Amino acid sequence: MIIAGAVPIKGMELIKGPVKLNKDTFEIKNKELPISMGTCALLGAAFKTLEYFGKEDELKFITAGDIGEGDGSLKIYEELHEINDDLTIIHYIKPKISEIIKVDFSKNVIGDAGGMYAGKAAGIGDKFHMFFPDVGELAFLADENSSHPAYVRGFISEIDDQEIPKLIKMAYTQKMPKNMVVKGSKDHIVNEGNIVDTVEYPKFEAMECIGGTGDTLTGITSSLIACGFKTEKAGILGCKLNRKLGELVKPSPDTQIYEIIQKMPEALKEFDL
Amino acid sequence: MSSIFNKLNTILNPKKEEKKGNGLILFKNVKEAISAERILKNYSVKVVAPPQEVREGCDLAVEYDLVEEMGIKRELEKNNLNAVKFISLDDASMEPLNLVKVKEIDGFTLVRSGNMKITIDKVGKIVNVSGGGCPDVPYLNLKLKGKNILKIPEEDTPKNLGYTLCAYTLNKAFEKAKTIALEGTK
Repeated sequence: MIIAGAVPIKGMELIKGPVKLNKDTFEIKNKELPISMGTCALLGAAFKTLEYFGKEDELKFITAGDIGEGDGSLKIYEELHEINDDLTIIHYIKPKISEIIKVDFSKNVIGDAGGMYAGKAAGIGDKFHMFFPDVGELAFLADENSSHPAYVRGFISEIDDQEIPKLIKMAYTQKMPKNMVVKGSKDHIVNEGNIVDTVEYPKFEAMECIGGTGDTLTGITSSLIACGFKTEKAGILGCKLNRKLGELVKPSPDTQIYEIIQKMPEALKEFDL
Repeated sequence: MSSIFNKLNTILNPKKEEKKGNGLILFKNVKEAISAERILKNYSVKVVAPPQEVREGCDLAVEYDLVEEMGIKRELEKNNLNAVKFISLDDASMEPLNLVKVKEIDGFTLVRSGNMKITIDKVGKIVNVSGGGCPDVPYLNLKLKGKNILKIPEEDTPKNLGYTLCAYTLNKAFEKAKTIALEGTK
């Protein structure tokens, strides 16, 4: 399984390879990266999940430094022109239509964050295996004229959580992946535009504040897929496990994501997978 | 000669697929549009003829990658170049989101603008930043978290540190959170 995404370190060259996880940092090629929101939170959750199944050595990370200028993202896109793994997750990366269309989609590719934005903007959502939008991002997917969540027509962006099924239907009038998890107060697991299940409890409002809780959901679900779980089942389990993490941490709005990731082995054990 | 004709043809009859995800900066006059292209040489920009329905006096405009809007606005401001309008070419009637929602959670305040969220405590300390997909969001998260929103200097706000539309959206939430923190101190 490959995770591809930028880290917020200006000028850091492209690095690829296996990783080692510490308490709140990662080591890759003698470089130490902090586990904070974004790509590193996804990586942390994926590593812990794969470790549970004894497959952490199969995880490869492709990253480069990017603080928004796009330099690191371009280097990552280049690496994605040829993919040699069954499953790749494209995460925090500068959305670039001209680059995302060059990605090798011959194997399964999951899009989250910038990877999802670029895929939708380019009109190639159906080439992806799965997306992970929140409600705001679902509005963006549902708006046929929008190429970034910052530009969504008002009548769509003002739709609230209660109208998620309506937004899902709207999104699926366009090119969307076969699978989707819409994360929120109630998570919706979607297959070919149909809601196959929802996960709502336990519910911790504070999780919405914590940077990285969406990233951990993607990390867990993707790793379960890489371990052989069917995508729908992995989506449902991912949502349940992410909420179990909340239950174990008892989060408040100032909880940090590495504290949540540390609870992964405990959560996985409770599910007896 | 034919290359000049081709260039002119490209400007006047751009291919439709090139517009997706792009925006247009309208200026008062041609001179400003040309200056902007020079100033923005590190961004993906090109001078184009604006469609008739969005013309604002100038018959040249600068086409840009929408996602780079924040950095481009800052660069133009730095060079005292005032654009008349920024529009999305995906839909000329579209403007960046302005909707901001506020929620109280366990004594903290969560402010959400579109896909971006910022959470402050009772005295204005930023405890978390989340959402988005552009690479400056994790960078802004590291820069802002743990600081009091009322003590962050102007040069360290999302609009001055960020480059992308996610940073632009986060700045909306940041400004609202700052207003809330300020009211709390009164």
